[in-house]
Parts: sequence; C-alpha cells; structure tokens
Amino acid sequence: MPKKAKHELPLHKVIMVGSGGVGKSALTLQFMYGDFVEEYDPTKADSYRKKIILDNQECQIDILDTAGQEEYAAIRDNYYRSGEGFLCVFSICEHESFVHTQEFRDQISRVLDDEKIPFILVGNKADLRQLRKVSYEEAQAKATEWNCTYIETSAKTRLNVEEVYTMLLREIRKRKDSAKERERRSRGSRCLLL
Amino acid sequence: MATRKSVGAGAAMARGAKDDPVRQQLTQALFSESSSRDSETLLTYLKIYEEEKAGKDIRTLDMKSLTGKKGGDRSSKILSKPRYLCMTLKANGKVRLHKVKKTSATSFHIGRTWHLDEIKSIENVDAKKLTVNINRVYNWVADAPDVKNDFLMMLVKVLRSNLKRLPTLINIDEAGLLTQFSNARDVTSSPPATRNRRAAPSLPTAGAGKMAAPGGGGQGAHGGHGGGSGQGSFTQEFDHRLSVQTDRMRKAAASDMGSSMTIATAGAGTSAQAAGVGAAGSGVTPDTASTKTHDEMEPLDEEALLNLEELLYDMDLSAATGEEGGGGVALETRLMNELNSLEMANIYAIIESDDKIKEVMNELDKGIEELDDMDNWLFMYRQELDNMGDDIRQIESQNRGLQVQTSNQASLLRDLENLLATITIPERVLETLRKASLDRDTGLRELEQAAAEVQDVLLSKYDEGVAGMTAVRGRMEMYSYQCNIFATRLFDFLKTQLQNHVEAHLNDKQRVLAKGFVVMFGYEPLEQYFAKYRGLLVWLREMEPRRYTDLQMLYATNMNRLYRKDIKEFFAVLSAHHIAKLEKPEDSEFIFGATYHASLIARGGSVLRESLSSPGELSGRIPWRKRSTREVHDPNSATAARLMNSHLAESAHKFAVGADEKLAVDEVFSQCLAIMTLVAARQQNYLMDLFTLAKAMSMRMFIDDPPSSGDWDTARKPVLDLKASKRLAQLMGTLFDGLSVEFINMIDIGVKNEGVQSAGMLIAVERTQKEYVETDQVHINTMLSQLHTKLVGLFEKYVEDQLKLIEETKHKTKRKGILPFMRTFPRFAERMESLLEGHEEATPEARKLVTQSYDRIIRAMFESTESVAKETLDFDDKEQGSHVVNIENMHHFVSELRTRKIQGLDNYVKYAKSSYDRHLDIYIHAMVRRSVGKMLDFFDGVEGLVKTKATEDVAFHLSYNKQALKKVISNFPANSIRKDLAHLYKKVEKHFASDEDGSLVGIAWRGIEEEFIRQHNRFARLIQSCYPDAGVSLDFNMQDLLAFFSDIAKQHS
Repeated sequence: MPKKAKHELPLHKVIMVGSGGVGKSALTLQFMYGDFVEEYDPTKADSYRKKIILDNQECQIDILDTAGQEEYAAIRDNYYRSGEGFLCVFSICEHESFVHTQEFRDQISRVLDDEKIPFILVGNKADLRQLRKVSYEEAQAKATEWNCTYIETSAKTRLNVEEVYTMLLREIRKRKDSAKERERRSRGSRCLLL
Repeated sequence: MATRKSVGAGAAMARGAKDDPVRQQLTQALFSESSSRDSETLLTYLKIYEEEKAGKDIRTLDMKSLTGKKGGDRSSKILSKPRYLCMTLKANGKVRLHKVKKTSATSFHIGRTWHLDEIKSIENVDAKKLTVNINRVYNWVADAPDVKNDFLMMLVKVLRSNLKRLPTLINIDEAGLLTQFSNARDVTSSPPATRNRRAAPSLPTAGAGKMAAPGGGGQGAHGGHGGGSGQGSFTQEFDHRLSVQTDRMRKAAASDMGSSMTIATAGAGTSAQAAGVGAAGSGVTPDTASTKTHDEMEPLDEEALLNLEELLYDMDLSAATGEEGGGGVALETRLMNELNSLEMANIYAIIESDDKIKEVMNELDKGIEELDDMDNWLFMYRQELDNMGDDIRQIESQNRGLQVQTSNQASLLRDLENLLATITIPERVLETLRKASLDRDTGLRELEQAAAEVQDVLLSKYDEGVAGMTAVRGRMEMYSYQCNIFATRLFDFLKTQLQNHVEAHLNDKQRVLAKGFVVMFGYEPLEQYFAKYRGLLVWLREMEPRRYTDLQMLYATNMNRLYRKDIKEFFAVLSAHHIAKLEKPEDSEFIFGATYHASLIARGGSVLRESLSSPGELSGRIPWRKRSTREVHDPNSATAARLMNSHLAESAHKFAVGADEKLAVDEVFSQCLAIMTLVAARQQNYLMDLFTLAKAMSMRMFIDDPPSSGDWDTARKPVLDLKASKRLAQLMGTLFDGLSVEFINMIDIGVKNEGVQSAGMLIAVERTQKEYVETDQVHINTMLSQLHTKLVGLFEKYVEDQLKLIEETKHKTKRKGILPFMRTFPRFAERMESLLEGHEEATPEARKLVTQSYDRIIRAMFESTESVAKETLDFDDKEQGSHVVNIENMHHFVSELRTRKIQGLDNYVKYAKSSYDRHLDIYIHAMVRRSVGKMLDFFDGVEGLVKTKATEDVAFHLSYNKQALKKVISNFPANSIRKDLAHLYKKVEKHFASDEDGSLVGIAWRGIEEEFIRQHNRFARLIQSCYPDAGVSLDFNMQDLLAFFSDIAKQHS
C-alpha cells in the first residue's frame, strides 16, 4: 500500500552546513520541535521531515543536518548533491567558524557546479552578544560577495529561526517555479517545432 | 747631398778639434771609469732642446749661456733649455739613456735616466725635431738634422739589438737613415783609410801600442764626427766596422779576426784580454772565413796597420799640440778609454753582426713564440680541463639531485601506494555490494564487511593535498556512487520486505479475535527478521541519512497498519462483548440524585455482577493485581498451533475475561492500558535497537562491537538525547496513532454510560504513569498524561453533576426519609476507596481529587439535608419533621461510614453524629412536651422560683400554690397518660416510617421513655420539697409509668 497524499506535497530539501559546534542541530531542533538543547553532541548526519505551511501552501521540508567535523568531508560531497538549498551556519562567537564558511561555500559550488543555488549565510548564537567575535558588517560583506542573504539567529531564543528556514524555502520554491516555467516554455517551443 | 756635404764639413771641423770637448766633459763628469764601480761608458750623445712651455726670459737666458759655451751651435729655433741626451753602456751590457743638464762649465747633472725598454715610442717629427715617449712625451729639438738622424739611427740599432719589442717608431726610415749614414761615412772615412793604409808600414812597434788605441779611438771619433756634430765616436766607429765587416764578409775574408788580431797586437798589454775575448767571440766566423781565401788577409792587415799608423800619427799630433806635462797621461787615459770602448763596441759588433746569433735569436724567438703558443695551448687546455671540471661538478650535483629526486620519487611512490592501498577497495568488495544477497545471513555478513570497508575509506581523514588529488577525488566519487547504488538496493529491499511481511500478517486469519478471545499478538518473527539489518541500517544512517529516515518512516507507517488493525479489533471485540453497560445512565448506583434501587437495575447477562459494592469481589477483579498471570499461553488455543508451525514464538497478551463475561468499563480500560503500554513499550525498544538510535556509530564500530540486543520487554531509563527521543516519539506517534483514539473512545463511551467510571480509569492511568514515568517511553507518557487530563476533567464534571443533583434534591417534592444522595455517597466512597486501596503511593493525585470530591459532596449533602429538613412539608408538625429528616439522614450517614473508616471523613462523621444527637435530643424533648407540656411548664416555673426563693415560699406564690398544683396534677391522670403515650408512640412510629431498618423509632422512643422517667422524678422531687405538707402527689407513679412503656413495647415488639 503506497503512501498517500504525502507524495503530492512539494518537498524542499534543505542542507545545514558549517563547522562543528556552531549550532546546526540546535537550529534544526528548534525549528522542528521548538526545543533548545544546551549540551553538545556532535552530529554525524540526521535527516528530518516536517509538514509546514509556506505562504498558505502546504509543503514538506526535508532538513539534512550534516556533520561539521573534518572527517566527514569526503561524505559531504555525497550529501550536497541532493541539496536544493543551504543554510551555511557559523557562530558569531568563533571567528574560525566564519572563516570556514568559505570552504563550505566552495565545496558546494564545486559539487553542484551552481553559483545560484539558494544559500543563506547564518550567524548563530546571536544571544551571546558579549562574546561576539565576528561583526555583523564583516559577515554581511561576505554575504554580499557571495550574492546571498546574511541573517543572525539564536537557536536558544528562537530569534529568526522560523524566518531563516522560511526565507530559504521561498528561495527554493521560487527557483523551482522558474525552472518549471522554463521547462514548460521549452516544451512548448518543441511542440511548435514539431 | 747638401746635407751630406755640410756633414762632411762638420766632421772635418770636428776632426780638426781632435776630439769633441762636450763628449770629453760628459765622460769626465759623469761616465769616467773611476767615477764608480759600475761605471758606464758613453756611447753617444745628442744635444737637444727640450720643448716646454717655459717663459721667454728663461729661454733668453739659456740662449745666452748656450751661446757662451758652445760656439757655432746656435739656432734661431732654440726654444728651451739645452740638455744632453746620453746613451751609455753599462758594465753589465745594459744600454741606458740619460738626460743630462749642464750645471756649470765642467759639471753636469743627470736629470733623468731611462732604460731602453721604457721607451714607448719615437717619432721623427721633422729635420731637427723628434718626439720620444718615455713615461711622458718629450719634444726634443736637435741642433742639426744629420746629428739627430745619426743619433736616431744609433738609437734604433741599439734598440733593435737589445729589445725584443721595439718601441713604436713613427716616421723613421731606418733604411734611409742607414744609407744616409753610410754615405756620410764613405765620404768622410775613405780618404783617411787610404791614408792609414799608406802610413801602415811606418807603424811603430813597441811603445807605440799605448798610443795606438787612442789613435784608433780618435779615428773612430773622427768617423763619428762625420755627422758634423759632437757625438760619441763609438757607434759611428762600430757602424763603420759593421759596414766594413759586411763588406769583408762579402769578400769571404776573416777580416774580423784579422782586425781583432790587429787590435790585439796593437793594443797589447792591458787590452790583450779584451782582444782575446773578441777573438774567441768571433772564433766561428774566422774558421769559416779562413777556409775561403787566406790571401785577402794581407791587404786587410795592411790596411789595419795603415790605420794604426794614422792613429798614432794623430796621437802624436795631439800630444804635440797638447800640454807638455800631462799630455802623456791624458793620452794614455784617453787611449785606454778608447780601447775599452773599442773592445766593447767590438763585442757588441760581434754579437750584433753574427747572423747565426740572429738566427739563434730568431729561433729563440720562434721557440719563445712556440713556447708561448704552447703556453696558450696549455692555458686553453687548462681552461678546457677547468670547464670539464665544472661540467663534472655540475653533473655530480645533478647526479646528487637526481638521487634525491629518485629517492623522493620512490618514497612518493611508496606513499602513493600506501594511499592507494588505503583508498583502494578491492573489486570483490564492490562486487559484494552490488551482488551479494540481502536475504541470506552469510550474504549479510559479507555485505556488512564490504559496506564497512567502503565507509572506512570514505570516512578516512585525508589531508587537504591528498583529498584534493584528482585520483583520490575520483575514487571517492566512484565509491560514493557505489554506496548510493547499494543504499538504493538496501532501501528497496527492506521496503519490499517490510511491505510483504506486513501484508502477510494483515491476511493472517489465525489472528482473528472473537468473543472471549481478546489477544494482542506480538510480531517477534518480523522483529527478528529486520533486526538482522541493524548493521546495514547503521551504515545507511551515515551514508544516506535521508534513506535511513525514510526507512524509519516506512517502518512506522507499515507497522502502523498492523497495529492499527490489531488495536481496532481488540477494542472492538471488547466493547462489543465485554463491557457492561447500563440501559440508562441514570440507573447508575453512583448518581447522587437518582432514586436508585437495586431491584431497578437491569444490566443484562446472567453472570454479570450486579454492582461493585462488594469489596472482596472487586479487588479480585482489579486487573493489576493479576498482572503476573496476564500473559496467557493457552495450550488449547490457536496460539499453540502457531507455536508448532513457527520457530519463533509469537507472544500473546490475552485479555482476562470469560467468554460471556462483562466487565465495568474502568476495569476493561485498565486491562487494555496495561496490555497496550506493554506492547508499545516493547515496540519502542525494538525501534531504538533496530535503528540504533541510542548511539551514533560507524559500521566498523558496529561490527567490532555489536551493541547487545536489549530486552525489549523491559522499559528503559531515559538516557536518550533530545534528538533521539524526539525521533522515537515521532515514530511511535505514527506507529500507534490509533491507540489513544481507542482509549479516548472507550473513556467517552464509558463515562457517558456511567460517569463515575472516570475515577477508575483515572486511577488506572495514574498507576500506569507511575510505571513509566522514569523511563524513556515518551510516547506512552505523553498519551497517558493526555488521558489523565481528560479523565480528571471528566471526573470533576461527574462531581459537578452530582453536586447539582444534590442541590436539586432540595426542590424535589419528596422531602422525607433518607435523601437519595445520602444513600449514594457511601457506595461512592466505598468504590473510590476500593479503587485506591493499596495504591495510595502511586496515585496521590487521584487520592487528592477523591478527597476533594468527598469534601465538596458531603458539604453539599449536609447543606442540602438541612435545607430539605427546614422546608419539609411532609409532616403535620413541621418542626418535628425537620428534626426527623436530619436525624434520619445523619443517622444513615454515620451508620454507613463509621464502620468503613475512610480517611478524611472522620470529621464529617463526627459532625453528622453531633447533628444527629442534637436533633434527636430536641425531637425527644419536643415529643415529651407534646404530651405533658402544661405540667412541664408548671414545674419549670416552680423550679425557677426555687432558684431565687426558699422552697417553703413557693407554696405561697399565687400561681404555684397548692390549688394550682392540684389543678395541674388533676389534668394528667394516669389513664390519660397511658393513652397519650400510646398515641405518642404512634406518632414517633409515623415520623420514622421511612427508616428502613426501623431502628430510629426504637431509639427515639427509648429517648422519650427516659425523658418521661426523668421528668417524673423531677416532678416528684419538686412536690416533695416545695409542697411537703400538701399531701399531693402525681396521679401516676414510677411503677405506672414503667408499666405504660412496657405495655407499648410489648405491643410493638
């Protein structure tokens, strides 16, 4: 017996990337369950699926929470291939994690060979203002360089958590819609040729 | 020609002066033999004027002095200071040039001395002028061109013979100079030569030798003066000789030998040695020459003799003209000098003129050149060798570099091989991943190994350089691709298997439930089957997290189909056959407002317990008390048959109920709750192990240290992190989405049927919660707390409803006897207590809730009771009726609850008791007064008087005198009292007519009896004390009274 209506819902695949300990899982869990986990337990890889309403339209979000640790670099390629949108997370309290975003960006660009993939630069741990090591301007400059959005979040206070996912989902949907549009148009022109 | 003639004239003139005075002066001053040991001999000199940019005055002065010193040597072209350029021959044979300045009439000073090789260049500028570059450029002007030319020629010759490399000669025509000189010689010297030859026979023999040399020198000097200037005779002489010699050679005659012999003979004495040297030096030539013609020697000797003669002549002449005293010595000296000069010139001439020597010199030059060439060759060879050395060194260093490179490459090769070994996965491994059967245990082990191997490689940490290598990257991509394929294969396989298993179970007819056979079967075979894939699921989790998650969801949704069906059937059978239902909800014995009567209850079913009022029976049916026996494996049931066919036992949780038995809904509920939570907890434990949710691990870790398959039936401690617990809760929610619905349905239906059931269900939930509260069963706990909240609400609603009913009782028409709620409450309390009994610790909330409900209900009941009592209309005497209602109800309450010892109700019981006592007391008094009221009033007055006045005074009181007493007593004759009492009893009996056991009538009557006796005693005592002498007494005595009561008692017993 196959699954029912679920298949008809549009499914948007989001991938969380970033160094270890910047709060990818915390953001995901906050978004999925509205809970905040204080203790740190390195993720290997986790996949989540949730039905949500995006602009009055029901859809499913699939979140792939990846490992930030170095040793998973080889597998990452594999993960990235399936991504339709990326949240590239760093901790505003750890400058190195910000530096590393470049590697993730490069790897994604290399694997997908696509500069325009929906991508948001996320500065997490915004609640720890007193420990800030990466200025807003610096991160914004990087985002401008990449031609993407920069947003600061707090998985702890839920600041911008809902927003960042919604924003990315909109980008993904927009891209898919325009791709469909292109496809339809090209199919139309092919018909004309025939 | 003109020049030559003038030269010749000059020479003649010079010859006339016999000797050049300048030369003499020079020799004396500077180059005399005695002047120093390393003396030099003046060869020739040239008077010059050095051109300088000097002032005119000086030049004029110089001119004057020159004019003074040297007559005839004047020229309009004198520019500068006069100097003498002297060419000298040193003892060691070196020829030098000196620039000499005349400081006084006879003294000279050597200004500068040069070696010949210092001369860089000589330029013949014009007739008189020449430029010599010796360190710097000197511009010299001679007095006359021929003198200058002679000097030049001499100089050039000397240079030629002494130096390897000539200085640069500019504008000097050597040949021309030579011919000019020779011509001049020929012209000037021929006549004397002839003259000498002529004079030869007269040459003196001994003693004249001394003079001969100077004579020769003088002759030479004459020759030298052929140039017309006062220059050194030697060079001219030797040039002359040279020419002569050449001439002689041409004639092949040993003239040299001869001449030297001549000189030797002539010189004799001191010069013999020199002559010998000369003879020896030219020894070669004479030998060869002598072989030619000896005859020619004769004329030569002759000529030499002639020459000598001439010389001597000249000597004599000069001696004659010279001073008388020192003339001889001077002459000797001069002769010696001349001789020396001659000898030297001779030697020089010999050397110079010898062709052989020239040849040798040439050969030597050639040899030197060749040596130079060889030197060059050697130099070049050496350079070649050096180059080769460099090349060799370069090659060597290159070689060393190559060796380093080779070893580097070797180690690189090793590293690469190692790397390749670590990143290379044998084809059989990949083949295994592609082909190995997922359905066989052996295949599974191989697959686990293969998957682990690939994962190890993919998870190895490579440094950036290695990871960036195309080969590595390519391999990684290839392995990732293989992994993808395998993941898909695994996923599809498990999906299909899952669906097949579930379908098989769904169609399993043996699982069908029936009346009296209500079972939750387990899925052990399925669980065991999929548990084999735990390892690969661990692998999938890391490699393809999405597929892993999808599989979880697939498992949950598919298993959900089984559980949904099983649970639905389970509940359906129970509710169809085994839940007791009231025909009407009002029939419940726990409705506080209903007029419940046992006989009215119709619950259907012969075996059905009529109520739960029997505590003993109830506790026997409480499900959790039979937990240990709940899992029933009935050997006669279908389960046994399944056991025979299957290797794996399927567990079966059987609901404890007889085939035709019906149970109260709360009992069914609590059994279901117990069974279902067990099933769900097991399923969660299984899920956790199947998907290894508790611990993140790699495939390798799984193989090396397989996590033990835990006991799925025992609930586990909550050790999970949030992620895993959320995940489990989500899966469990999907798996058992039908469960809480079924429970809620059961609750709703049950409570609708009988509200009080909420309490039993609530307690069951709370008990179960207690069991799971410290476990990881989030789903169960969530469900239970939902049910709990719902049931609390339902129970409170039930209480509220009851309170309303109690309140409503007030307005009911029937207001006598025991009020209905008073009857309900003990049953309710008893039910609650029996539910809670033994589980006080587990159910504090329920206890609190129940106690609260007691409180509220009792207060409402008491309030309602008193209200009803006050308003009671069912009695002719309203007041009595009120007491009766109170007495009856309080009595019921107390009597029902006192024995049960329910905690928290003591105060209410006490309150009820006191209320009962009070009302009873009032009732009794009222009843007594009712029959003997007037008498009571009278004696009450008497008693009042007694308190203020003396007892004997009472009789004197108007109202209480003897007459009054007699009148009251007469009103109550014994007979009427008897009648009254009978009537009173009837009244009491009527009052308490609704009392079921009738005990209250007896109690009330006994109270009345006692009161009558007490009053009788009081009356008698008062009569006796206040009216002692009146002789009056009550119409009936104590005996009568007791008899009356006795009679009544007899009538009603």
